[in-house]
Amino acid sequence: MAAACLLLGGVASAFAGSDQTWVARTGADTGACPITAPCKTFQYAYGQTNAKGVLSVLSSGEFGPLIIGKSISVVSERGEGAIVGANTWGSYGASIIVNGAGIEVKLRGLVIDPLVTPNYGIMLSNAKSLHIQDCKIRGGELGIYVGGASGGRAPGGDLYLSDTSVVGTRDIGIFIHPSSSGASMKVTMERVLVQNAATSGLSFFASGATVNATIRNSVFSGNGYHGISAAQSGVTLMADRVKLTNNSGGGVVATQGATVRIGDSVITGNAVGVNGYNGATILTFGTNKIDGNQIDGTPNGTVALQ
Amino acid sequence: MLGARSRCFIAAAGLLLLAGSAQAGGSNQTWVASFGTDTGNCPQTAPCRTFRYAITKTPSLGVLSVIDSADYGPVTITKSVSILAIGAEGAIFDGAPAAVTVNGTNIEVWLRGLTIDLFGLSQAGIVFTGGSALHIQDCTIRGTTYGIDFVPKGGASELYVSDSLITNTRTHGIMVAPNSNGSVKAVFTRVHVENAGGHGFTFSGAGGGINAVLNDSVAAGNHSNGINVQGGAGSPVQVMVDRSASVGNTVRGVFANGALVRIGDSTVTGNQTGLAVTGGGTIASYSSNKVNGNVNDGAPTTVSYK
Repeated sequence: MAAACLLLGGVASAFAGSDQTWVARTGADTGACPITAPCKTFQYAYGQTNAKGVLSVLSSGEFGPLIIGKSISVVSERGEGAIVGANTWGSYGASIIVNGAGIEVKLRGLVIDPLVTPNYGIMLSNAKSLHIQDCKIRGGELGIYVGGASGGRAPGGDLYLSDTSVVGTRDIGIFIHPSSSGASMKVTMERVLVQNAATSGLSFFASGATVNATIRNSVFSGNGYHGISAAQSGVTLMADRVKLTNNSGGGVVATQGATVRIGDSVITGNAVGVNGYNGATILTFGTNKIDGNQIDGTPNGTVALQ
Repeated sequence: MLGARSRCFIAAAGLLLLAGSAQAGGSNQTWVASFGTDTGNCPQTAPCRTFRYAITKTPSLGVLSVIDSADYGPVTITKSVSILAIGAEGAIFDGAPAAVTVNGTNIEVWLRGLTIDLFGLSQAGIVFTGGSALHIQDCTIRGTTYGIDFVPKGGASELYVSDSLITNTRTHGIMVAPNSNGSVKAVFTRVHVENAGGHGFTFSGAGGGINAVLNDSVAAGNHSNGINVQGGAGSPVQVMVDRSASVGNTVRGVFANGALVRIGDSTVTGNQTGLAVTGGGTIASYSSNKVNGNVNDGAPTTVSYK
């Protein structure tokens, strides 16, 4: 099976051979993309990069959208590694699509604007893990989407997100939506900003799947619907030192059996502060600032610090 | 759930599709560089020299990016765009009518990585008079009159500032003052305002209402109040101060004049007066603040955690 995959993948990846490849504003898509002769697009350079290798940005530029099907790091440390626009893939469009069974992918320092709807910024369809660090995503329909492939919602994969902002999406900022096939995934977020999404900032919907998420030191503000919404009994969320402010709907809303625990957090300026209903539970550590909402709401219960 | 064979096929199909759809950024992204010239459409292969020229070649919802460090001059923004300087210093050293002016209808603007220094000239750093949202991230402003002058003339506007430093302004560091037809929601995350000639953060609701949050932010060494909150008749003004500091300011640490300030997990020290209210204003403490070491500490009311 693996060999068949490699052969099919070979249509575009053309016998990759380097552990580190480079792109630059002035590059050209020929050769093996060494640092002395960088290439022009992420997708071409990806094809020249060995599995588990590193694709690096040598100088600021726009390097086009990317479909990832093997373990790789895409790193922009020295300048702006931008993707403006998206690939289409079935009924989806995304600036970066991650889709490969068992792969481990790291994205660092990228600027992503998928432009018009219905394009997404980063779509995680299938992977063992996806690490997103120091990325800036603006516009498009969804900033980050877990789930979704033209053949049906795929297993997803563990998502690690840090020091990343998602601004001004035309729908949900970050949508965690794994398959209904009994999939299980973990989500960890640290220092994430989601602002000005047209609907919810961060939304979990796991029908039949299991999502265990921890969100720390992050801000969900000015979104057109909820700051964080959690739906379905498979969703368990810990929110620690999170700021949920100025959202047009709820600060944190849980429904359909989801469980949310929240501590040391600020919930203010929303239409409703907290709202756990329809079999869902929002538990407080008793350390939250929930004031100044049109309706503050009341957590469903408490949980003790230890 | 897709089988491995199906995923493999889809991945290969995606790569085949890609061959026809991979794209460069085209005219959705423009570029400036120290070696650029103000002619043409500012693609990355022929960057322009000034923000003022390049913005005219940047479409609505497009991105204007900086290739290398230089002074790119003042700019007036009337459409939804991003101006990004990543891995380089995108500087603005003069400002007529301001270093950056934002004035449009329902526009969203994102400024990232700019360095604004007007060396004591009589202009402001960033002035916002119209639009739906302004995002300021990783910016440095110094030597201006106001650092940020957020004065929408009408409608609902939102201001988001994160990871930014404002120092040595001649007047207030950050001024939020909608007129009588406007309202503002503002969020400051890891923002430092230091050595302002006036207040550090000032909110004036004499016009429309204001709902603001300071997260992990600092007002230090300003020559009037650190956090100055003024209400207005019929226009509620409330500010949440969380895990922030107002220290070493010449007059008051936190001042609520006919407005409501909630404060928790914060430090107020080294000011003439720590906490002060007048005109029916309220400062409500979560009883988790360090308010000591001011000439007069002042005494807040209390509000409970939830």
